[in-house]
Amino acid sequence: MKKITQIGFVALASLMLLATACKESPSDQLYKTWDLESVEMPDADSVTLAAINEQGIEFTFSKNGEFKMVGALTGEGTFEINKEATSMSTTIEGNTDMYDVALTENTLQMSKGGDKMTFTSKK
Amino acid sequence: MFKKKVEEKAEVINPLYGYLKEVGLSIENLQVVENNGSVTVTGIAEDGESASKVSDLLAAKGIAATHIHNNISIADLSSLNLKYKVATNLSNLNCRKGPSTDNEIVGKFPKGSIVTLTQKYNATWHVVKNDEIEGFCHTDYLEEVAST
Repeated sequence: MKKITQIGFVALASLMLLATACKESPSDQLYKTWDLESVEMPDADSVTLAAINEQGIEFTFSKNGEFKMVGALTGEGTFEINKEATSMSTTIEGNTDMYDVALTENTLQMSKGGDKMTFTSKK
Repeated sequence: MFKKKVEEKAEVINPLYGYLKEVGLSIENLQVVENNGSVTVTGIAEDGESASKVSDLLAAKGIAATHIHNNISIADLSSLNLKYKVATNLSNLNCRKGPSTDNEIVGKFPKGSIVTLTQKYNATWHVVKNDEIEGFCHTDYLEEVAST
């Protein structure tokens, strides 16, 4: 009886450890395709921003650290996001930018200074 | 990642904006809107020369002067607290209502006194002030004071 209890306890502890190891970190929510909902860039050309906001852009972030843009703007690059999903760096054509990030299952916001991009996850 | 791509796109969607940006004028929040052949430009220029150069640049692109609405304002530099010494030879310095000697004199700054820069209207005239008066003064008689 004692042995069965011990085995049961070890099994339970192992299961708990496994569950902890497999637990998603907040940044895992990033790896999907996102629709750009809006761009705010006080310094940029308003005519161009209006066109971008109207036409839209799809961003896809992959687990291998690569992203792709399709739509009003196109391009590919690399990114790094911290596990807490509070900051991200992106590099495209040799230019690297740092962003503050607010990420949930369905919304992504990237901001840098007065610039802000808001995304919703593509259904 | 984004701003550079937006700027590249702007050169295609709004070529006049791209053209003015490329020239490298110090203009913040530059906006260029074309509407029925008219071009309206807004923004904040570092100085008056940059602001007026926009009209020349657009004219060089074949846009008639009557169709150019240059609404660029000149930056207020008061917050930078830049100081100038009145460097006249003998007399006090005339402070005028506008950027030419045809404009009315609103007051005089004493020789050797220190004034604060408000605006760099152009290379010849700056807007400066003390506690009592503010107006246009000829830059020949203003010496920039090094900040401490």
